[in-house]
Formats: sequence, structure tokens, C-alpha cells
Amino acid sequence: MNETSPELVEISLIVNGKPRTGRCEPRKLLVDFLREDLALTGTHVGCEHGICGACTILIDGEAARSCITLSVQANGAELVSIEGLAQGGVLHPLQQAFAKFHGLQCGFCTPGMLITAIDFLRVNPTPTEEEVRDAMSAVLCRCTGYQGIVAAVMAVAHASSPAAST
Amino acid sequence: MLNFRLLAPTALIDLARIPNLAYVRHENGTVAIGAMTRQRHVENSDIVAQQLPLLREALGWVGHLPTRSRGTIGGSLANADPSAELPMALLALDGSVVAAGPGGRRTIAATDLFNSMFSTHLASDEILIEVRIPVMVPGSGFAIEEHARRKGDFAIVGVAVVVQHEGDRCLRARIAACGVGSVAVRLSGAEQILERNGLGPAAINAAAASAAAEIDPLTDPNSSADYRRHLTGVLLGRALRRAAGLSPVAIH
Repeated sequence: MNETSPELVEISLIVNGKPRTGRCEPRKLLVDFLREDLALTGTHVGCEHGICGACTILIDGEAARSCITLSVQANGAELVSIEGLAQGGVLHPLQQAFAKFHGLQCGFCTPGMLITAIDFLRVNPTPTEEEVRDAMSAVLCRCTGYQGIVAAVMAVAHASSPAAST
Repeated sequence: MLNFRLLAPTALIDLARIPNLAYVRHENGTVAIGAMTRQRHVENSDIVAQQLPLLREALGWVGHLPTRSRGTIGGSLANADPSAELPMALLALDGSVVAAGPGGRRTIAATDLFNSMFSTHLASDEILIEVRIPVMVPGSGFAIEEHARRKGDFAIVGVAVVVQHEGDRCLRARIAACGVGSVAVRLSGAEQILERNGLGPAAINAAAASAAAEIDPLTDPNSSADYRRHLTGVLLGRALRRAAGLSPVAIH
């Protein structure tokens, strides 16, 4: 092993609308940078190899795994993490629906579930339940509380669809 | 590869910062896709939807939306996971890749690209820069069938088929499979059966039986070689019936 301290890399990016900077080793994972350097611990570290989805954040508007992205790769990017969803103390409609439909139990997967659902509903605003189940399979819930999660996403999709007023 | 501790490189070069490596173009009967084009972009490309519907179907099987946001087509091909769908799709579509290195550029056919598990025939000083796939003949039948433990997982076995047919007659068949050995493979014995005997139910059954005998699958904690051989026959039968229009509904 190289005994000299590793070179630190300057990183500047926008997180939840605010410009942020930091210095970290080039090997540092984006999720660790968010949690340790920016103190944004709402994004969770689960499997650390891109399977479980707990670390999912928005990178330039698209849901992505922050545990298989190096922080240097996000230099200059615009990120949204779970901390950026509520606006002015008001929960995001998906957060409200998760509360209403019991879409969370232990809450560990919830940040990844919410970010995944946001990106999915942007791409497919009027999904069928089967499409919701397919999309939300991108995140694992060890409490197996999928029923409430699917119900919450469906409720938000219905509420924002043109047919909702009928 | 890094997170799985399969690789511990001393240096990494991020190709994602090269904008000229991300594009989808239609060039005289060939779709050219930059190696660093995100899987999600390829999936949403109108050119791919119109000219390479099989590739679009394959991408639906690749991981999940949040992994396709960052994953690239060239990255998946160069990774050469034997259970991945994109190497299989490239084989079924008679595609090739362009490699670039100090000695210039060369084109490598899909059938010559994959060496063994997680290993390609790219030289150590070459990078994959482009994927080239001839457009599918309009009216071709095609299908992908796959079995995995969970949606979005790498396949235990997957099959991809493209058939050009006139009624029951099969002018040309391309069949590829993943999860059935150390690399994704073409199943030429099964292809020849269809090209000889057409796309009727008997020929499809014979091709499926041939495919199961053609492969040499591995046994791993997920599944035995026998199970994979069985799955290959079953999935190929389904895929061919769908591609031939005998069973129009996809079962996902």
C-alpha cells in the first residue's frame, strides 16, 4: 500500500438547490460524500453494490444509485436527495402519500423509494399498478411493505392525472 | 466491478466526460450508438424504437430505471457479464463494436467480442467507442424471454430471437442466449433447424430441443446446469412462438 496520504480532489456541485463544495479522495463513493462530507444522512447505504436502491438520488434529474457512483463523477452535477423533497416545511405529495398509505415501516428504504417514484412518475405520470410494481422493484424493502408503497404511488399518480377530479 | 471488489485499479479514467461518445445515429442501414450512451437514452431513442425494437425490448430487462440512468451500452458490452442481456441482444442482431487504440480503429463482430466471463477480446490498450447494429428488416418477428429470481436481476437464462419469415417459411433466424455458459452465445444449430424447417410448432419444438443440447451451462448456487438447459428450451419455445406470431402476448 502507498503510505503517502492520497491526493484530495475538489468537488463542487449543486445539492437540493444549493451550491456545495468538498474535498475528498477520488475513490470516495457519492453516497459517502453526501453522508460524511455534506452531512446529508437521509440517503442510506444498503448493499453498496447497486442492488437494493436505498442510496437512490436524482443526478441531473434522473434517479441513480449513489453507491456505485464516485463523488468525482458527480462534479458539476445537480443532485436531489431526500432532504430536498419537502418545500417550506410541507412534505412532497409522495411523502404525504407514503404516510397516509403506510408506505414505510422501518423507513430504511424510504428515501430510495421516494426518489425512484419521483423519477418514475415524471416519465410515466399515469401508470398501471403493474407498471408501478415493476418500477418500484428497483428498490428492496426488507420489511416487505410493498403493498402500502404501491398504494401510495398509485394514489399520487391518480391525484395528478386529469381524470382525478371525477 | 469495484464495489464487488473484483477489480482494484490504481487509476480510473472517466469516459463519461467525453460528449462525442454519446449518440444514436441512423447511417445507411446501420444504427451507430456511441459507447458511452446511457442505457436509458438508448431505450428512449426513436431510432432504436423504429429500427431495433429488439434492442429496446432487451433494455427493459437491463436492471432498473435508476441503474439504466447511469449504465452505458458500451460499458455493459465491455463488462461481458455472461448473464447480461445486451451482449445477447448484440449477438441476435448481428451487431459489432468499434475499438480504438494506439494502432487505430478496428471493428469486432459480436461473435468475436466475448472471450470468457467478464472478459472480451479488446486489447488492454483499446477502448470500445461505438456499437454498430444493422437495422432490423421491417416485419421481422422478434422476442426476448428471460427467467430471473427478481425483476431486474441478471438472467438465470435469457434468450433473444429475430426471425425473418414469409408465412411458415423462415428466411433467416438469429438466436442468442445468456446465462448458459461463460459468455453469451449464438445458437446456430437451432437457427439452422428453423431456416430448414420453417416456423411451425414442430420446427419450433425441434429448435428448442436443439438449443438445450447445444449449450454447456455452468452450475452455480442459483441453478444447476440441468435446470439452465431445461429453461433454455422452454424460454426459446416461448420466444419463437411469440416471434412467429403464434403467441402474441409477452409474458414478463
